[in-house]
Amino acid sequence: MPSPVQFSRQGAIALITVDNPPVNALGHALRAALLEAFRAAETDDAVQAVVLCCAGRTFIAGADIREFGQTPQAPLLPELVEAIEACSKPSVAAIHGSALGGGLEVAMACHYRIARDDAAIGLPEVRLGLIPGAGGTQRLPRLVGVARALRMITSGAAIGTAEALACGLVDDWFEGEAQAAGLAFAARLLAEQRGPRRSGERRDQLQADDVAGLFAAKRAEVEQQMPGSFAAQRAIAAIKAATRLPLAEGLKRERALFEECLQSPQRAALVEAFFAERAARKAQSAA
Amino acid sequence: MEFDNIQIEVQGAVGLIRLHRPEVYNALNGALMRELGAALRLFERETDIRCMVITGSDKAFAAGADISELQFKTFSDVYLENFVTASWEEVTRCRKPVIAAVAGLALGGGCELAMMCDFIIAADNARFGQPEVKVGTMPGAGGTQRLTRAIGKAKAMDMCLTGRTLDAQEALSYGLVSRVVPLDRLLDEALTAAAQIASYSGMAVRLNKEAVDRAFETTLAEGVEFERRLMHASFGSEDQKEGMQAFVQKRKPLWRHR
Repeated sequence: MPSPVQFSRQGAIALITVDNPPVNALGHALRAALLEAFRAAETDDAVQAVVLCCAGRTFIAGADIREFGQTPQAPLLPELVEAIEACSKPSVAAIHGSALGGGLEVAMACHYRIARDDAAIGLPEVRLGLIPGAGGTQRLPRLVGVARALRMITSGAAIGTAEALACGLVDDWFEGEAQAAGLAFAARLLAEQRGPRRSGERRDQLQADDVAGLFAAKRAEVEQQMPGSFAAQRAIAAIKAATRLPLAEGLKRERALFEECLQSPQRAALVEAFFAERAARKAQSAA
Repeated sequence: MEFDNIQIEVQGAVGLIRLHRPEVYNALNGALMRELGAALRLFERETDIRCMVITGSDKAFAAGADISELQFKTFSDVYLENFVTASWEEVTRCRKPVIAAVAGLALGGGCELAMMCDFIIAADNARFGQPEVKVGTMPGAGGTQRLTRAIGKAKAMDMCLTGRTLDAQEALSYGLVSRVVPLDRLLDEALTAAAQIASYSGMAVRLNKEAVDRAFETTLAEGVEFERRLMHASFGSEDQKEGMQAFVQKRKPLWRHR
């Protein structure tokens, strides 16, 4: 099987291109290859900046649904995300199409993000009975603020490029090819001598006027609109941890809440419903 | 493209653009207009956004074209770069509604930009004018044409030839703006209007906009004929079925925006 990641160097810029059709899902082989590519960029002295982009019709659209219900193999997503964020060279994720779930967590681990005008960006995990499990609940509020992170993560709804740009989730936007836009942005980073800017190290967006009020209101809203939603309430708890704990502690809390969701009967039922609906759609389009 | 001369926000289904060159009362230069055009295209493209608002600051919507950028340009320069046509008219290409929320000065290119929008909501401190004659030229982004259609020949001539400005109440009574509100209510009023528009079928809203716009391009008989056919066409949309059935069934319509 060909590697799902291509690594090349263009001058001082390492270009990491994911090519894992059809939707660049974050399966084991891709996680391993991405980790290797970022490590190669880190150790190559000629590399001064890194571009992550994807071939095909979308950025990393999410987890690999074929791995649902299986024991995942290392490297796990949190390990990959941590390595990307820790990289000492500034990195930019050039997003086209969808950056959902693990795809967005990878993009948020990069130090900068740009999105094509057609992008859909979100953390839909609660819809499958989970919460983001690779830092999504810790990094999203650091980038877009508590209120918006609560809305995005508890609803699972994606936002478009305009909103992502307006709220600071992406730094810039483009039309056309993701690779060219990513390389141009990285060249600008180098010209302006902008170094790594790690999402996890930011705290400014976590300060809001009435954080306690935001959490209380969201809890009540979720109670009313999604009564008994196991994952949505845990998502709120995880975001709350982001506002109270240092990153490493927050990530541990997120992981614990993620595991609780993974073990819950609601998760199993939602995954079953997901596959049933998918099979029904396939049968319908075949008929 | 990074936005240095404007700021954008998304509130639900409404895209908001603030012109932001505070040091020069939002004077319109090439960079700002390119950014404005790009932001409008971005909002046009986004299916979840169904209405847009353009606003400025409390002191100025836009005080005019940036004269410092234009003063030494020759005929060849402006002709060859296709000044105005190339990048100042993106608003007129939007199919989603665009509301101008105007406070303070809307002069020259600023007044023309506001008039390109589908309608204008003004703060009580708004002032509108086409004072280009004072700097040896004339409006060039539709000012002489849209102003005349909006308020008639007598008042348009008065404004263009003397360069005098209209205050908000005059602009309201002449039909240049649709509403005047206290300054501190302006953005709320505009965003509420935009949210109301966005709460309707995006399909129906576009059909309405297209039909009203046609009134400026054609005779009454032709315009009515155009309207009639668009109304007939609306019966081919999912939202017309949903809208009328929801009305009869006394429930809220669930728009598909198609």
